[in-house]
Amino acid sequence: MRQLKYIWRTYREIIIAVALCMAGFGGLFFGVVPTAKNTLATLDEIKTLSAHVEALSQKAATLDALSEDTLREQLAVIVSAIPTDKAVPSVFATVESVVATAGVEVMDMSVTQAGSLATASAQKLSTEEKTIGASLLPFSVTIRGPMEKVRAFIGRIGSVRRLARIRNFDVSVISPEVIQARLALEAFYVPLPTSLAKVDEALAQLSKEQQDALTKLATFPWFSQPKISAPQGPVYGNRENPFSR
Amino acid sequence: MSTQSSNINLISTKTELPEQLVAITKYLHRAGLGAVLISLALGLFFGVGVTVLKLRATSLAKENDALVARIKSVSSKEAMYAVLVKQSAVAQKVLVSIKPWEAVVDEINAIAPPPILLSATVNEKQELSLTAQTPSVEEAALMVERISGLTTQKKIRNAVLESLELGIDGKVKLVITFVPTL
Repeated sequence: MRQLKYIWRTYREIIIAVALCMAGFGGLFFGVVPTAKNTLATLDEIKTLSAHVEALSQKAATLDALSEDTLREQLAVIVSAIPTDKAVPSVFATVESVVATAGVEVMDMSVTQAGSLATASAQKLSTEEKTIGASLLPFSVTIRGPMEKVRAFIGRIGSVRRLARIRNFDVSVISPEVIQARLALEAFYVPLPTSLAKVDEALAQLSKEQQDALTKLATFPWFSQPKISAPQGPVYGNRENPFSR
Repeated sequence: MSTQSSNINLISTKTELPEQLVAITKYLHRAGLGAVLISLALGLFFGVGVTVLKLRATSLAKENDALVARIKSVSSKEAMYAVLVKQSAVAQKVLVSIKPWEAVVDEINAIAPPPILLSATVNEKQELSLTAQTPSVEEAALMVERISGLTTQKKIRNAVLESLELGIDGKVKLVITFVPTL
């Protein structure tokens, strides 16, 4: 004990100085540095969160500004032009209507590759299909009629819903007034996406060209529109329960 | 008779330290004090800073969650919009790829109206092969003139007279290929 008292008496100043140093530098290294690191990490986190919140705010504002009814109408227009599956009947309906409008006679019509067994995702797309972003449904039509009516059909088939384009064609003269045209055409279909983008992913904007395309499509006549109308009046007679005897 | 102790301790109770050690002690004292003050000041600064920032981060995280919930509540709208963007991009490309073939029919009609026209074929490279039969050489010359006119007007290009047959009845059969400008 006397020894300790002696040491304290002798080296008190130096002990206090060393203790102060240890406390000061220890505080710096073990207290301030981690807190500073924590501050910087929190600052980074805030930057990331701010950007995230900004993007989400914009997305929410864009979605709020969109009218669900308008979206439905626009979707109906686009799906009527480029359906989500092969929808072969709509090809026939469209061609029949264009034929009737143009005033030509259909001699033959066939759809090739109509019944592929592969699902849409399993089908291998050709380079052209990849470029366009849609699957192609080839079909051929042979029509007969006067030159101007065949011309009307050729001019009209590309500007109706459902959309189709002529790949190649040949014309032969049957009589001075009647020509026959054999056309190889392609209709398009795009399967619906199977998954939605993540919530935090930004919304792709409709470009001016895309909006123009939508406006143009809306002006095209929709010949394959379902003709089924909602039943009018009581469909079960006057009974409330249709299964009652 | 009592005897009184008269011993006096003349040894100094305080040991003098070497001067160098005293100087080092003073230096260490100042440095230690400085380090303590600096660490207190910085600790206070960063402590307050991190607390404020954590509060801000928490508030942003709450805002983020609220926005995610808001977006999820209109997910059907988002899905429709996403499909619309995708399909309209396709529609735009499809519309661009549709060629005005009726113009080609007009050109065929302009060059060889029926009954001069026998057949015409347009292949996938947009090359048109036209077979026509004119009643006379003069008519054939007129037809070639019409082709030259369309070439000058840049309505067609690469016009080539593939074959020309003159029949004993004076009829001329021509096979012409060209590429219509669409």
